[in-house]
Amino acid sequence: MNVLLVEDEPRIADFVRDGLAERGFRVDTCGDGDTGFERALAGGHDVILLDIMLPGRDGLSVLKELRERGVTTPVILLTARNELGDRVEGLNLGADDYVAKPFYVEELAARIQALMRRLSGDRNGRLQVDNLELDRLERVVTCQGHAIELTTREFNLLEYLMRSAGAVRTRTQILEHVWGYDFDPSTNLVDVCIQRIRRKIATIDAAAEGAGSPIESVRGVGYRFRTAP
Amino acid sequence: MNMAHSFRLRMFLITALIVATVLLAVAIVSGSTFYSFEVRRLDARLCDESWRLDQRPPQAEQQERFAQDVAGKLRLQSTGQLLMTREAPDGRGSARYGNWPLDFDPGQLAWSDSTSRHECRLTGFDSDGRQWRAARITTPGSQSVVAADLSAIQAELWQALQKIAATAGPIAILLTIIGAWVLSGLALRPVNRLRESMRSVDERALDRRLPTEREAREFRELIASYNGMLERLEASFNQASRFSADAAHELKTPLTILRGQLERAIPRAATPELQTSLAEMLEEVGRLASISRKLLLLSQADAGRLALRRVTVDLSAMLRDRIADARMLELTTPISTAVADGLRIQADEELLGQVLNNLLGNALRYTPPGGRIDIRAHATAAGIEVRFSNSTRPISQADRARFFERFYRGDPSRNRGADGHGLGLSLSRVIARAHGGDLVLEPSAESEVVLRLTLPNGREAAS
Repeated sequence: MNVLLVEDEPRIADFVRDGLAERGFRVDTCGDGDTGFERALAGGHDVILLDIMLPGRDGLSVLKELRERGVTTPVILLTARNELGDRVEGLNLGADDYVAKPFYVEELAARIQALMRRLSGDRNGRLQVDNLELDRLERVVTCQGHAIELTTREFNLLEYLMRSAGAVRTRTQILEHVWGYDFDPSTNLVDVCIQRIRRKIATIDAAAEGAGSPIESVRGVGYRFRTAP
Repeated sequence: MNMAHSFRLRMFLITALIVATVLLAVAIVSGSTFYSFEVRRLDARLCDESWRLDQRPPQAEQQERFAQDVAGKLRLQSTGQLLMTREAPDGRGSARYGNWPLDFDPGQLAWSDSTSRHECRLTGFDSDGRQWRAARITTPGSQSVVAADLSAIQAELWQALQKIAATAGPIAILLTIIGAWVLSGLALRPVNRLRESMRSVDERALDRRLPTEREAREFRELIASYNGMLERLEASFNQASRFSADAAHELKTPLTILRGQLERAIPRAATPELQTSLAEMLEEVGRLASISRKLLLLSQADAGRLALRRVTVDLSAMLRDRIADARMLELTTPISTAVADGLRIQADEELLGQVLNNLLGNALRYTPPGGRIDIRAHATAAGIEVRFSNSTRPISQADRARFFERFYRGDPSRNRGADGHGLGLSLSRVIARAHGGDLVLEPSAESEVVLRLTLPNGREAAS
């Protein structure tokens, strides 16, 4: 998948490019609005990641002119300044999604994939890791063909871990992704929720009991969905 | 209004006092002018009558008639107010009329210089407890003195004054009162207008200025200084707001870089120890990001520029999800709920979710063992009302008053969670207000916290 990254801060551009490249994206970067606009106009990208604060022409006006010229390449805005205002304006101008700085590359990659799926009309939103299968559209999880009853939160948490299987997620990352901002009931909600998911999986797959659980605790870090050995 | 501190009342009293004093002074001055005029007229007549007495002294048997005639000319009420004497060295034509004091001797009195009228000399003296005015004519052959009781013109003056007081007095008092009241009101009118204009200015409308054209010069200066103050206030407010927005923005780039680098470094860490410490760093970066995000939102709200992306939100479902989360924790704290179904409003889902997260998170965090939590939500005529109440350690009134203060911590020892920035409640309130609603701390027992979130139905909210 070809990504055009328009970002003027080289250190951000570097790790986004590296992080996305590790996940199999081909990333084309440029550091100012005018170059970004020309490259976007030239086409050949599946998605454009557009920073709003750019030297030369700013992100929103690049977006506006691209849409006016009939360029329909999906755009994800990387917002920082005046976060919400730009977010609203950007979406009104025809952006497909936005990611607020500071973001996780993992989150950005997931957004790109979700956007691609949505735009390609992919009705098959399935995730499969090992013997666990998760259907994003039907919102059901099956294990060895048996459905597992999960609450919304449990489903979202499992989906979050499964889509980046093998990668460690910290508790804060999970909390923010699944519960949103500012939810902090002191007792660790993430731990409790993970325990419940593990138990539910174990009732169907006896091998997933205890240390055999597909959700692995990484001491002092967080959790990871185990990939097949 | 406290009457003692009413500016209008004070203005009224002062005005009335001044008017009354002026009226009184006018009365006194005109009264005394009138009196001295009357005295001068009497003097002239006294001189005439002394001259007549001196030149044509009456026969003894005509004395009474002469006295009555003189009294009439002098406008005296009776002859008892008249004294006459004529002395001649040869004794011819000497006469004495009236109740003269026994020791009366014209030579003993201090007479004025001769007047132009008949070279007459004047004086006043006291006798028999009465004030007299006397005129003396001295000719080579005789000397005549005619004296009149001054109480005659004093009484006349007194009567005139009484008459004036009886007719003009009430009118003057009434006019004074009305005039003073109207004047004090008139003086206050620009101030009242100013007060109304000032009332329309609040922290969201700091760019408003009061018009000066229609006001009097004195008030223009006042308004100009008020406008100047507003200007400085707006400038410093904008500066503070821009500062925190800029600071939050400036923090974002390094935070994004830090987060990205840490995210990549964690799976590559050589040892579990390193991995753990990198993860801890990532958590702290998350905390920093959360604070800077809140500061940015607050500064936007302060500047009245908090942009909302309104969609139809099912508040009932949002609450139920969060209540389910709380129950999932299987805490010993009982949670009672009464959430009506289908509470839908136009709101920014992410921000409203943050408000609910914050309120429920606080309730869970601060309810001591053995306490309880109660959450109810229902529709009202104006919109939706959500009430969070929970037990707490006793919170004093002083602490309650500072509940929504930024970075305020009621109990520093307990506030160490990821949200312990003291910004959550303050932000929740500005989000509620940006939606046209509010978040208030209800009065309650010391060991209970009751927060009421109100959100209006439609889009009429200011944002």
